[in-house]
Amino acid sequence: MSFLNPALLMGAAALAIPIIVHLLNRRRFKRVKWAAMRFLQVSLERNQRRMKVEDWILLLLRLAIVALIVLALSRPATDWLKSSGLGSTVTASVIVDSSASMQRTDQGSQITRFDVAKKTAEQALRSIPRGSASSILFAANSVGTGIKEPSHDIERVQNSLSNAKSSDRGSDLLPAIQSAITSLNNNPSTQKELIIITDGEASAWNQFESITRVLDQNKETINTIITLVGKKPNENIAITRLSQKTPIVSVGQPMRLSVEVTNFGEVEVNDIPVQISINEKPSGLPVIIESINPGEEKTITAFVEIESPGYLRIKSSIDYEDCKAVDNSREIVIRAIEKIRTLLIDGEPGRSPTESETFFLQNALVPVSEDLADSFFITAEKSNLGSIQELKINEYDVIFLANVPDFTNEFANTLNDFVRNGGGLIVFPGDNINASFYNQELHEKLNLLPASFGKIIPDQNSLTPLSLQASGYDHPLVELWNDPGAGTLGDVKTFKAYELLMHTGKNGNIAVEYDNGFAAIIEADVGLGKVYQFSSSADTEWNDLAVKPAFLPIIHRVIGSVISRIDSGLNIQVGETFIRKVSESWVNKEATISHSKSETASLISAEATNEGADIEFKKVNTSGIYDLKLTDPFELIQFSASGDPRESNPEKLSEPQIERLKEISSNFIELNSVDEITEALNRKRKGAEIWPMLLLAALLLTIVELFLSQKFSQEK
Amino acid sequence: MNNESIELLDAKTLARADKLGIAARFIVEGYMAGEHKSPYRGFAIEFSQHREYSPGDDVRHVDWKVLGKTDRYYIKQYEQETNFVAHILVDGSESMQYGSGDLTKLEYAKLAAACLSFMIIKQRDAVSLSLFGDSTIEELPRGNTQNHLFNILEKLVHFSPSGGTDLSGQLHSVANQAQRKGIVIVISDFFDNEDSVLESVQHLRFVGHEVIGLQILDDDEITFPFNGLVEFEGLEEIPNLKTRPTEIRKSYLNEFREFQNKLRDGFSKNSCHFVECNTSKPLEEVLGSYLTFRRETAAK
Repeated sequence: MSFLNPALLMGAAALAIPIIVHLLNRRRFKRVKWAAMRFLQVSLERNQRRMKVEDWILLLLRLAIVALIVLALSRPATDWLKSSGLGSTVTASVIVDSSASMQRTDQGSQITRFDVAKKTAEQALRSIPRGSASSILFAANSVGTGIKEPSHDIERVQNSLSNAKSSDRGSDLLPAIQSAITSLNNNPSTQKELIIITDGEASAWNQFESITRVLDQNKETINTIITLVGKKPNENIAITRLSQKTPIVSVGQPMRLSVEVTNFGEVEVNDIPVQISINEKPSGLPVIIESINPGEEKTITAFVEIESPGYLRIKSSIDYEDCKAVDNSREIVIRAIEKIRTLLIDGEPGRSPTESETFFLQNALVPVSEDLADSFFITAEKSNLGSIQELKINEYDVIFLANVPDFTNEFANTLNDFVRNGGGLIVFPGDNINASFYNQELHEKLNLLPASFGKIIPDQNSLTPLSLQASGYDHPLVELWNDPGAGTLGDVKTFKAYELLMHTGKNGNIAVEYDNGFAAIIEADVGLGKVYQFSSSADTEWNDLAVKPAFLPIIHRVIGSVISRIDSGLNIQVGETFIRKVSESWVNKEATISHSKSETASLISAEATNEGADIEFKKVNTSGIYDLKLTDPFELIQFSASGDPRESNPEKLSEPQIERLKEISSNFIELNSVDEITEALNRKRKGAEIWPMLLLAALLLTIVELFLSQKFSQEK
Repeated sequence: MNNESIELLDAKTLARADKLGIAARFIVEGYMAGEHKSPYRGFAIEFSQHREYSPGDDVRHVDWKVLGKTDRYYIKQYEQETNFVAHILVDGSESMQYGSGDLTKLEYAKLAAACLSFMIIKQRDAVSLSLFGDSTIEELPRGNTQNHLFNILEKLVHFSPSGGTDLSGQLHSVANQAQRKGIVIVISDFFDNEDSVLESVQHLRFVGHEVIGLQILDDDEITFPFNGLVEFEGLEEIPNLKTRPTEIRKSYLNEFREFQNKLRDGFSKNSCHFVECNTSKPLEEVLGSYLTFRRETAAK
C-alpha cells in the first residue's frame, strides 16, 4: 500500500473532530433543576448500557467516516495489479534522443540506437496504466518535436513515436528536459514520470550540471528513469570540418579547401583516402592521410579548380567503414563568381596615374599585366568626381571612395541603396575629404558609415608615426597574419589618420587597430551589403600600407569579405536556423525549400524588413544540401547543413557522472533488453487506487450513521 | 394576633397572605356560588324532626313547648353530627420547589392549603396545619377562628422548604398524635417511597382518619417534554444526571405512571381519595372537580 497524496494523511488529525464534537456536546448540556429524580434515575439505569452502546456505535461510525475520507483524499494505492495496466494513472514525459549519434548501429546489433530507443519508448508507453497521459519529445539540440503536452490519447503518442525519424542534429538534452519538467509540473497528476532514453554520449550531456540540477530539484515530485542505449564503439572516423580558405571563389581560379579528419576510435587508423567532389563529381584524386592516432585530428589542404559560376556543392568524404556512416562525409555550398567589378572614385586624380589617389588600389585589385587584366577575375574601373552623377553604380559589386571630398545627397542616397541591396563600399579618407559631410550625411543621417571621422592622429607635434597592431588578429580580415609565416602588419607606418569614432547604437566592428588602440579599419554590415571604413589614405600620402606586401591581401580580403557577405550563412549546422537576407522581390511570393535527397518541398515566404526582406527556415534537421527556390522571377539559393562534429565523438558519460545520475534518478538503466524499462517503471509505480471504494464506504457509513442517529434519538 | 405576629407580617407578606386569602376565598366562593351549600354542611348537632313519644324514650328529649301547646308528647329528634378537624399536611421538601410555569409546586400546594383552610374554617370546622420536609418544620394546632386562619396563612407565606421528604413518617406521626378522628389532607408530590406512604395511610385509616391525598405535580413531571442534552439537577440530594431525555422519555413516563397508579390503588384500597393536581391547571378547577366528586360519592 502506498499513497499518492501522502501529505493529506496529515488530515488524520481530523479524527479528533468527532471526539471534540462529542466532548463539546457534553459541555453543552442544558441544566434543569428537577424534582422527580428517582424516576429519571431508574430510567437511566435501565437505559444506560443501551445509550452508551449507541453512543459508542455513533462515535465509531463518525470516526470511521472521517478516517475513510482522509484515506480517500490521500489516494492510497495497492501494489496489486500494477503490471496488468490497472495501476494508478501516471503522467509521463518520454524524451527520446534523436540526435545524430543515435544513428549509430552498435556492434552485434541490426538496428540503430534510435530504433532501439524507439522500441524502448514503445514498451514504456505500452506499460502505462489505463487512463494515464503521456507526451513524447524527440530531443536533439532543441526542445524537439513530438507531442509536448501530456495527452491521454496514448495511441496518438504511439503513432508519433512510430513515425519519428532521427535527425542529424547535435544533441543537448537540457531544453527537452526543461520543457518536459515544466509540462509535468503544470500537470496536477500525483504520479509523474520522466523517461529519458539516450545513448549516454557525453555530447548530449554537455550541460550536465544544469541537467542534474533541474532533475535534482524535481526528484521529489517526478520519477526520472534514465535509460542508456548503445555501447561505446571501438572506432569512428569522421570529417569534422570542411572549410573554404580562399577569400574569393571565382571561375578559373583555384580554390583552397581545408578538411579536418578526426579519429574518435580507440585504435590507430591508416591510409584514409579523402575525396573532394564538386556537384557530386570527384575533383582530382583522393588525398591519402597516412595515419591518425586515437583522439587525433588531421587537417589536409586540397585545391579544386572552379569551372562554372553559381552555387557549387563541395563535398569531402572518406571511404571507411565504421559504426556511423553519416559523419564520413561533409558538404558545403559556395558561390563562385565569374567577375568582380569594382569602381574606384578618385578624389585626387593628380596629373599622372601614379599621382592619383587610387593608383595603388587599382594595382592591388588587378595585380596582373595589362594583357592579362581582362581575364583576371577582378576588374577595377576608375572614375572622377566630375562624372559621379553619370555613374551606373548598380553595375558594380564594390565601390571605393578614395579621398572624395563630398557629393550630392542624391548620390549619397544612391550609394546607400547600392550598399543595402548587397553592394560593397570601401571608404578611404585624405586631405580632400569634407569630414563633416561624411559624418552628418553618411554616418548620422544614412547610417551608412559605421564611424564618424574625428580629429587627426597622431598629434601634429608628435614625431612618432602610428603602427598597425603587430599581433592578436581576431578579425577574419586579418587572421591570416596570425601565422608568423605570413609576416606582420606591425611594420605599416601611418603618419596621418582620422580618429574613427564609433557611437553607441551604430553597428560596426574594428577589424584592425593601431598600436595605440585607435581603430584603423572598421567594418559593418549594412543591409545586404558591407562597408569598410579606413582611417588613413589609400595612397602613400598618409601611410606606407600601399607599398607594403600586406596591401594586396588586405584589399583582396576586403573584396572577398564584401562578396561573401551576401553568401554568409550558406553553411550552417543542423539544428540552426537558416536566415537569408533577400531582396524585396521575394516578399509576397511563393518560394519552396527542399532537401536535395527529398522528393517533397515545403512552402516558405519572405518577410519584409527595414533592409529588404528576410527568409527563415527553422526545420533544418537533416544534413546535406537544401534548395531554396523562387519561381517568379526564378532565383535559386543553395545552402548546406552539416552535423555537429561533437556527435561523432562516441565518448560516454564518465563514471562519476553516471553515479550522479543514479543519485538523482529513480532508475538508471544501461539497457540490455527493452523489457528492463517495464520492470523499472513498475518498481516505482503505484498500484490500483482504492479511493473510490473508500469514498463509497464513507458514503454508506454516513447513511448508516444518519439512520442510526435518527433511530437512537427516537423516544424510548 | 399579637404585636409580634403583626411585626412578623411585613407589608409584603401581608399583601401576599391577603392575596392568598382572597384567592382562596374567590375560589371557594366561586365554587359555593354554584353549589349554594358547603359540602361540609351537617357536621354540627342539628334538629332533624319530631316524633311521637313512645315508651322507653329518654324523657330529656321530650319537647315541652309542643306539649304545652298541643298537650301531646313529642320527642325532639336530632341528627348527631360532630365538628371535624382537618389536618392539613403540606410537603415542604425541596422537590416541591420545582415549577416550570407561573407557580412552583409548593406555591400551588400553599394555595391549595390556604383555600381548604379558608373553606373549612368558614364552616366552623377546625383546621390544624403541618408543614414538613424530612421532619416537621412548622405546625399549628387545630383552630377554627378567623385569627387561626390568618395564622395559617402567615405560616404558609413564610414557609420556605428544605431537605428531603419523609412523608410516611409524618403521616404515622399524625396517626399517633391526633386525638380526634378527622380528615387528613396531605398536599405533596408524594415523591417518597410509595409503599411506606401507603402503609402510613393505612395506619391513619386504622385510627379512624379519612385521608385525602392531593398530589401536586408540575406538567413537566407528567409529560417529560425535554429535548436535546439535559443535565438534571436533583432537588433532594440526588446527584445530577446527564442524559438525552427523548431517549428515556417512554421509560420515565412508564415509571411515573406506575408510581402514580400504585399510589392511587393504595389510596383506593384504603377508601381514601387520591387527587392529581397539575400546577398548569387552575386550582379552583382541580378543587371544584374533586369536591363535586366527593359530594356525589357521599350522596351515594
